[in-house]
Amino acid sequence: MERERVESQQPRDLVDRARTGDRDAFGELVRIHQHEVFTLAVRLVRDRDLASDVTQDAFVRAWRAMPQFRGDAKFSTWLHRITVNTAWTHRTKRNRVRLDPLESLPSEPESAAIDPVRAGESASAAPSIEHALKGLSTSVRSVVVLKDIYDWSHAEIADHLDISVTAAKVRLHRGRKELRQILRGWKDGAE
Amino acid sequence: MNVRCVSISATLSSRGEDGLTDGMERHVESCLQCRREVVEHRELQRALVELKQVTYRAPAEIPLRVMDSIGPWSVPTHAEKRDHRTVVAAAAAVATAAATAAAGTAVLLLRHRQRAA
Repeated sequence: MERERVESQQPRDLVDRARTGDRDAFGELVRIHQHEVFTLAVRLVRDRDLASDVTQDAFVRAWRAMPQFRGDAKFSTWLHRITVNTAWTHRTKRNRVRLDPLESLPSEPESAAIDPVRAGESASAAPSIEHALKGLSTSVRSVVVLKDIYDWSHAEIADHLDISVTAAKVRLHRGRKELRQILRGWKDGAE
Repeated sequence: MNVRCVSISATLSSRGEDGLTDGMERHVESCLQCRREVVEHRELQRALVELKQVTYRAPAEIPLRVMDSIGPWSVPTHAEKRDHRTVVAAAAAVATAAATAAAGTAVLLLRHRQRAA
C-alpha cells in the first residue's frame, strides 16, 4: 500500500519531499530516472560497468545535494549535470591508472540493452549512429552527445567539461565531420 | 573538391544548414558533392535527434545500490544547516573568549612577576 501511495505522487512532490530528507521519495526518483541517467553515462564513458558506477555515484551526489536544489531547472536537467560531472571525475580517475578505454567497449551496438518500448519508436538510424559515436574520442564524443542529443549550449558544455567555448565549438565541428565520414563509409560499404 | 566545397562542409559541421550563405546555397544546387554533404548532414542530425528517444535499461540492482550507498541518515535540511552554523558560531565565540582570558591572565602574571622583581 505504501509503495502504491508513493508511486502515485507527482515527481515535483517527490522532489520536494526528497529535499527534506525523505528517503522513500528519493528512492522513487531513482527508480524513475535511473534509465535516463544510465543512458547518458553509457554515452559518455562507453563502458557499461563504469556507467553503472557513474549512475550510482551520480544519485548519491544528488542525494547529498538535494537541499541545494532550488528548482530553477527541471530535476532531470539538474540530474544530467551531476551525471556529466560524475562521469568526468570517474574517467579522469580511470585514465590515471589505465589508458586503454577502448578495450572495454562492446564491439556490437547494445541493441539488446535498449529499452524495447522506446527504441521501437526510432528503429531507423539510431543504433548505427550510437555505434558511430563510439568511434569518436571521449573529448569529442562528449561534446557531440551533450550538444546534439541533450541540447546543451556551448557555454554549458564548456563549463561542465572545463574547456573553453571555442574548444567546445571546435570539438563539435570535428565530431560531426567524423560522424558523417563514418556513416558515409558504412553506407558506401553497404552499397 | 574546391575551396567553396571545403568551406560548405566546414559550415555544415559547425553551424549547420542555417550557417550557409545565399552564395553557398546556390553552389550546393549545382554541386553533386555538396548536395551529398547536405543530405548526409540532415541524416546525421535526424539520427542524433532520434537518439533522444532511445534509452538504455539500467542494471536492475541500481536502485538498491544507491539506497545502500546513501545510508539510513537523512539529508541536512536548511533548518539543520542553520543549527550547524549556530553551533560553529558559538564555538568560535567560546574559543575567542578563552583566548582573550588566557592572554589577560598571562599579562597579569607578567606584571605580577615584574613587580615582585
